[in-house]
Amino acid sequence: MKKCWIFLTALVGLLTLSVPPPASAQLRTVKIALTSQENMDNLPYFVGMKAGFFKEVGINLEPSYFRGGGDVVRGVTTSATDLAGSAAPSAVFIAASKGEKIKVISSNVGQLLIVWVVKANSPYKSIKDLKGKKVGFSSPGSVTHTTIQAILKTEGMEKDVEIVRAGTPGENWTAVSNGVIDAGWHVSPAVYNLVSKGEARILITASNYIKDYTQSSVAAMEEVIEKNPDMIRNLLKARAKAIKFISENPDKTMSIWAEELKLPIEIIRLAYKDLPKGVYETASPKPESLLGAMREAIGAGGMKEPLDLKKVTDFRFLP
Amino acid sequence: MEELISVKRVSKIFEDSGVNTGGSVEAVGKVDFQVRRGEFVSLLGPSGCGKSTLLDIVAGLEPPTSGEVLIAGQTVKGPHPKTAMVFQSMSVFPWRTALENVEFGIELKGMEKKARRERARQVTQLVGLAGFEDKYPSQLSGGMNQRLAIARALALDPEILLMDEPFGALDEQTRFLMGLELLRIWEETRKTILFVTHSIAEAIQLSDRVLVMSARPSVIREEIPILLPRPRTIETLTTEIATQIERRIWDILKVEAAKGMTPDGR
Amino acid sequence: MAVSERIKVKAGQAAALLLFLGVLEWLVRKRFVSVLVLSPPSAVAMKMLEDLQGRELWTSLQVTAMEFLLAALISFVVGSFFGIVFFRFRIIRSALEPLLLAFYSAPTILLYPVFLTLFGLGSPAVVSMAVVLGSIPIMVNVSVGLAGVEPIFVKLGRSLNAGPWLMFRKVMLPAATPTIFTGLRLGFTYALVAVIAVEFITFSGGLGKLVSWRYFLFDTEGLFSAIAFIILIASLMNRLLQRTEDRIRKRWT
Repeated sequence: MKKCWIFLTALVGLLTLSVPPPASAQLRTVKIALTSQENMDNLPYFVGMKAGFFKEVGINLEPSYFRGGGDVVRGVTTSATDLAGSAAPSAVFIAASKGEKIKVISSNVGQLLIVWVVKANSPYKSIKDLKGKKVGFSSPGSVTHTTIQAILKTEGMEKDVEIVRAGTPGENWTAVSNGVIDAGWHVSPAVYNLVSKGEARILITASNYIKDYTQSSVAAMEEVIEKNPDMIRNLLKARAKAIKFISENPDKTMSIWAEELKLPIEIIRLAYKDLPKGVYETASPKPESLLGAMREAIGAGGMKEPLDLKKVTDFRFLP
Repeated sequence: MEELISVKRVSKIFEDSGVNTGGSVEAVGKVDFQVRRGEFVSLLGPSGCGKSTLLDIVAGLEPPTSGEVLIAGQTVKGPHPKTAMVFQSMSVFPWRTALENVEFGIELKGMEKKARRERARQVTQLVGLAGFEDKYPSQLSGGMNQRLAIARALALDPEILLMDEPFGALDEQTRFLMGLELLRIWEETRKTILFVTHSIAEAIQLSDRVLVMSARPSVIREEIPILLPRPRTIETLTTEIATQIERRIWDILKVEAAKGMTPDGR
Repeated sequence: MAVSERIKVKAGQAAALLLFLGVLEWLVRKRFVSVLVLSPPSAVAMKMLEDLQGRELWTSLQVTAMEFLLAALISFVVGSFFGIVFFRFRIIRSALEPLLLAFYSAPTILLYPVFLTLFGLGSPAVVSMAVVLGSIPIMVNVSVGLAGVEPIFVKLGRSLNAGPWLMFRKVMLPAATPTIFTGLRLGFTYALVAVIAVEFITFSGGLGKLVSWRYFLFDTEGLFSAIAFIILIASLMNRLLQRTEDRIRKRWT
């Protein structure tokens, strides 16, 4: 008799286990390539993940962080990730020029959010003071590279300043503190950490020089798009929801941000204050902006001639 | 015949080096002997008895703890110019040719190049290695390399050769032949030779006198004249007299060698 | 090894290499591997020819070569000096050697920010890092080599009343040469690697910078072309040094 009960219990147990879980608990993992974690380009994704917007549309978003714009694109082209959430358009275009079938599917950040800082106690008050000095950028062909070149050109100073490859914001700041370079690039919100401590001072704000610049975009391989149109659409929808949330819920956004980056809330507040309205875009990048990115790519030596925009973009899935 | 080497009440104690002896080592007890000009004298004793140390003292490489060594009447305070040493192990420089090796001693003494070359050639010929001047030690046999070491010493034209088991690393047949070679050279050059060995046969083959040494602390147990005619051939070395001498020496050495087989040498 | 055996071995090596390259070629052409990550060997070969005729490679090579030669020279001097000091003063050796070996085994190249602070971006930082890495094996081998001279040679010198300078010049140094030369080979190899690595990390110039630059601009053929040249140069140098070392060892033993 006892044996009978054990057998029945086991049978019921097995049956229960074999029943498929309810549909809403079934999430599809989507790997997304992002730039280094402290970059504010990534905020929509943090918010979307934390607030559950991606899960709502059945997506379990798994971010991978890469050090440079080039590596973000490599993450996508090697299929290490399914798409890129913050890829510089110029990097996407260079990859496309080599024959990779990668496309920009949405804008991410529509303004330039990079700044250049100097030591708080340094004598530099304006960009003109950097004549004959050294200024850092991240890596060749990157946004920081082309932007600083453009800014210096606007000021007529491109021959008077030596631009030096200095890596990430952290590495740039180390170089500035050690006097290896005089000004280094940095990015919100981490830069406010240095500013509030009185160590650094923002000397150049890129968005003062260049308006309407697609700093980063969402991109994916043609194959992934063809095979997963719904996933792409849903992802962009959830992202749009996150962006709405950011503008409507500053306090909650700031706490998510602070938690993700493990920075004190005061720093985040400073960063948030400086955030231009509508910096996160849900629409397609402006064509002039994309053409500008192409010109940069050519200027940096990454490609020889411009590509047909229609072949390297796919805006069918915008919300 | 004058006394060329005079060893007077020499003893040697090595102070505790702290390694594993657990105390100081009395290598050489009180030793007295003389070597006359032109003689071939052997120091014969069991391994580790201190005979090499004694030779080092005569060579001026080790200071005696007590007593002194006189060479041609002068107290030895360091390597004496009238002496030259031949070592047991391979002391020939692998990076120099045979001729350059032979030159080494006289080179250090500052002899000028042309004269040096000439002298080195002569001596190389003397030891029977003519034609091998440009070979490297790696290309020569052990016996040939030892002949180079002898040539190097001879190039200095010393009055005395101090030889520390020079044929110890060679096989028995080669050793015998090298012994014959050495005797030939000795007869030609009329040097005085003080020769250290642990081989009874070798001592009998080569020497005018054999000083049989005890185990540590070394003293001279007995002095045995080798009254065998020269040249010493296989025939002369296998006569009844030769065998008697050998037995005599062995009887003395037996006791001393046995002492060496117990840990504390007593 | 008999001649026919050696021919077989060489043929086997060539066949393996060709097979490997063929697989790579196929992988990239069929788009199994992204063209941003790997380049077909045929394209790399063409780019290598292009580079040989262009200027970029040669100017980069010049910078690296000068930095390396300077680093090698300074490593030799510094290494020899400290090697001799360690040999003569055993106390200093006991004190400093463990510290130096720690530097040697850890990825010291990660200390590059220190050198950047001291020397700024550019060749001085590259050369100084390379000297740190290159001089240590020389130091160690000089002191070990001198200490390892056969005692019988020293005894021979003493029996001839050789003064310290003659003893050093004619006995110790020649006797220690094989070991010292190994130290030179190791030191110079590490110096070359360090030069290129620091050039790469700091983007200061030379072949390292060329590699870094081409990587960032997605110039994959160019990247592998530069890497191929670096490998060729490094293995050529190592082979030359190894051959010389083998000849020295043959003579010395």
